[in-house]
Formats: sequence, C-alpha cells, structure tokens
Amino acid sequence: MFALFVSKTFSNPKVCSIAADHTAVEYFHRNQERLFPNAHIDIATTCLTYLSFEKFERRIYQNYRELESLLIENPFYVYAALNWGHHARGEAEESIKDMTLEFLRDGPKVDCASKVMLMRRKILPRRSTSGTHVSAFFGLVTILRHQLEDTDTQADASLRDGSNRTPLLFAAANGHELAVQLLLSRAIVDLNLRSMFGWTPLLYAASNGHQPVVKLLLLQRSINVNEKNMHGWTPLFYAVTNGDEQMVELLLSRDDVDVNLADPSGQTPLSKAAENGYGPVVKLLLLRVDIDVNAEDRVGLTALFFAVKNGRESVVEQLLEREGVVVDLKDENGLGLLSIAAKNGHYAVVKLLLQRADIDVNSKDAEGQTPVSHAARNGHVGVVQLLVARNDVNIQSTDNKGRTPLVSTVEN
Amino acid sequence: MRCKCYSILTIDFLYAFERFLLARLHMNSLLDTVNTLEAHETLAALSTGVDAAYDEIMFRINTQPQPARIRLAGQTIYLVAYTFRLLSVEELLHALAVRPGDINLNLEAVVLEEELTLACAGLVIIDEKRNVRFVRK
Repeated sequence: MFALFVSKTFSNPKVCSIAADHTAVEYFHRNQERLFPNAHIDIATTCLTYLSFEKFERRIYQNYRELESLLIENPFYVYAALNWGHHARGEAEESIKDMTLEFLRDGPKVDCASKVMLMRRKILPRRSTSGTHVSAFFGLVTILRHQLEDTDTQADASLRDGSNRTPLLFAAANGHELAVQLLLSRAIVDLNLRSMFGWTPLLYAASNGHQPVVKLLLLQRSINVNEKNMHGWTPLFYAVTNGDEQMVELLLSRDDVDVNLADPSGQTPLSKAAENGYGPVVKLLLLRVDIDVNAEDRVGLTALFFAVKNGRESVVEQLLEREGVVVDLKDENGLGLLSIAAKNGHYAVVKLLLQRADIDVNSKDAEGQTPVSHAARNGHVGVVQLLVARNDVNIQSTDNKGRTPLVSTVEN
Repeated sequence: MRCKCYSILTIDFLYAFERFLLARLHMNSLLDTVNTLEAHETLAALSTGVDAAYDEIMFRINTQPQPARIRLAGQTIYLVAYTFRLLSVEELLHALAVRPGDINLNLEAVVLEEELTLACAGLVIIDEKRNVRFVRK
C-alpha cells in the first residue's frame, strides 16, 4: 500500500512541474543547515578518499598522455583534484584534518592530484609541488598551520616547489587572506622571490584583483612594488589594465611605486589607462606629482594619443586640462591628433581638441591629407560640420595628389 | 468564517491528504489568520511557496520504504546541489560509490543510473549532455 502511494506520487506531474533547475539549487542552498549540514565535509571526504586511491600513486606522471587513460577510467578524479579544498575550506577543515594531512604527506598522490589541479587545457605541469603548496592554494588555514608546525615534513613558509614557487605565492594568487597572513607571520619568506615565470605574490594578487591580500603584502616594507614578471608588467600595470580603481589607489599609496615604469612596448600605466578609457584610474594617476604625462612609447606615442585614437572623451578632457601636455603629436603616418580623431569620427574628442589654441587645424599627414579630408573621406558628417564651421580651416587644401577634401570624398 | 472554509475546501483534498504532515502545518498557519483576506494571502503563499513545494518532495524522498534508497537519494541530492559545477553521470556514480576509508574504487558499489533517478523521486534527471541536474520546468 505504501509502495503504491510512493510510486503514484512520484509520477505526479505536479511535483515535477514546480521544480525548476536553479530554484532547486537555491532551495538547497537556503536550507542547507537544516537538510544537509555536513554536505561539504562529506563531499570533501569523498574527494579525498578518491584522490587517495592506491592506483594514483603508482608513478610520477610527466605529461597528459601518460595520465589520460587513468583519468578516463576514473572520471571523478578531475573534479576531486580541483575542488576538494574548496569543499574543505573553513569549518570542515578541523573535522577532516587527519585525513587531509595524511593525504598531503603522501608525495606521489599529492604530485598526481596537484598536477591535475594546475593542469591547463590538457597540459600537465612537468614540475612537482608539495602538500604545503596545495593547502596554500586552497587557503586551508587550519591544515596549513598543522603542516607548518609538523617538524617531520620540514614544511615552512619559504619552501619552494619545482617551479620556484612558495606557498605564499599560491595563497596570494588565489586571494586567501588568512593563509597569506599566516604565511607572512611564519618564517623568513623572500617576498620578492620570482617563480619560474617571474611572478611574485604581489604581482599575482594585484593582477587577480585580491585587494585584502595586496593590502597585507604592501604592509611589508621589504616588498618590491615595481617587480616585473616575464611579460615585463608590474603590479600597477595589471591593476591599471584591469581598470581596477581601488587596486590602483592601493598601490599608489606606496610612495616607492614607479608610476612611469613602462612595459616592453614602452607604454606607461597612464597611457594604458588612457587607451582603455579608464577615467577614474587616469584621475588617480594624474594626482601623482611624479607622473610624466608626455611619456612616449617606443614609436613616440603618448597617453593623449591613445585616448584620442580610441575616442576616450573623459580621459582626453582630463589630459588636456593638464599643464604642459603636448598636443603637437604625430603618429608614424604623420597623422596629428585632430586627424586621428576626425578619421575615427570621435565627435566629442574633435570638439575638445578644437578648443585648444595650440592645435593645428590644417596639419597635413604624409599624404598631404588634413583633418577635414580624413573626416570627409570616412563619412563623418558631424565632424566635417564641426571643422568647416571654423573659419581657419582650409577646405580647399590639396593633398599630394592634388585632391581637395571634396574630390577625395567623391573618389572614395 | 464561511469564506475561510470555502477557500480551504478549494485545496485539492487528495493532494493535501498525501502530504498530511505538511498540510497540517499549512492548516495551522491558516487557522492563525484573523480575517478572510489574510486567509487568502496565506493560501496563496502556501500554494506558490517554493520551499514548501521542495519540502514536500524531500518529505516524499525521505519516506521511501527502502532505507538504502533514502541514503542514495540524499547523497545524490547533496552532490548535485553543493558541488561547484554540474557533474556528469559517470562522475556522480563514482562519487556515490566511494565509502570513507576505501583504498580503491569498489566497482560493486557503483549503482545503476536508473536507480539514481528513481530514488530521487524525479527531482534529479540526466540531461542530454549526460549531466546530472535538478529537473527543469
């Protein structure tokens, strides 16, 4: 009788129709305390048990191909390796401490799991990492504390793995504030130690937008805020490129940060911010007394040039207000600022530039084209109207082939 | 009072009986109302309350006759609800087969797909990409 009732209600379409995919997930998250208070502990335990299976410690895997068949036979392995620590982090750590520490002490098992954890697009890292690095990666503070206290494993905060990475680097890269705090309080860590690819903890934290971690790191006087990675980028450069205003502000709070330090192409942080149109970031950078607004990159282009080229109105406005900003600039084809703006049809920027007394409204490029002919040829009616309204704009000027703006427009 | 009774009568009586525990809770909240308007509002909240609907499904799952199925359903549901991405059915079946302390996967502990969906009372489905998810409307 009971079984009948069960099967009948289970097939009740009413029951199924109420349940939408995400609403179910939301329901279970809302009621987790009541329904499955130990869910994350249980999932973490399942993951760790799976990762600890004997078959995963048979050898040290050097590349993906060696591991592939094992991963296919054991489909849960990838999820487990990537996520066990996320399930374990926090209150769960204490209850599965013994099991976790046992796993993390097991070299070959940690090697396999950590390689899968750090695997990118089926490329397995060749170099190994340690259990201490793995717990720093996941930000498992309780576990990390036990590892650091365990004298047998000789784990300490300055331990380097096969790629010259410290646990601090992993904790900082993933934004684990408490783990960073713990690692900074322990032992002598070389804060500026660069990994194999030139990354320092500060570079990683800044580029990944982890403000609390950056705050902690900046408090360390010995940290080099101008360290570059293999791409030649500094922490400030990453913060600027991400348009991360608060991060830029944080980094600028250190007076030893070099605001004019350029990337390999010669572009400064200001130029990068101008190019991307990050108005608030430009504002912050311009507040620095040591900023060089006219810094040129390898081909002689400045922040103002990039802002004009991309039509970043608010940035152009800010830069033009600056005393001593050079407006008499030409790119590699001899195009002046006004021509660039006119060519790309940046109406507001053209308007701003026309307000300047020191701008040459008839500047000619290598082909003898003026701003008005660039605007006309590219069909920017509004910009043409702006330009011809000025009585000092020569609309009859001819280019190197003897064409006036009108003729070259018709030809196009 | 008559209006109130009328509203209550409009509930599908059989349906209400099947979930008698929940229904009793609902009745209590209805009896707490002081006027017809409130009674109507409470009724509306009960029939659309998402939590109530899922509570009901959970109640059905947890009152299945076979304890093994209840256990299986519970594990399946938390693996679907609290993992950080969707799991494929193969991943889930392996995860379900793991018992604490195992040193190797016990293939005999792997359940059948059908068993999985059956135990979860239709709450969990295997979609066209072979991922396990909660049933969609």
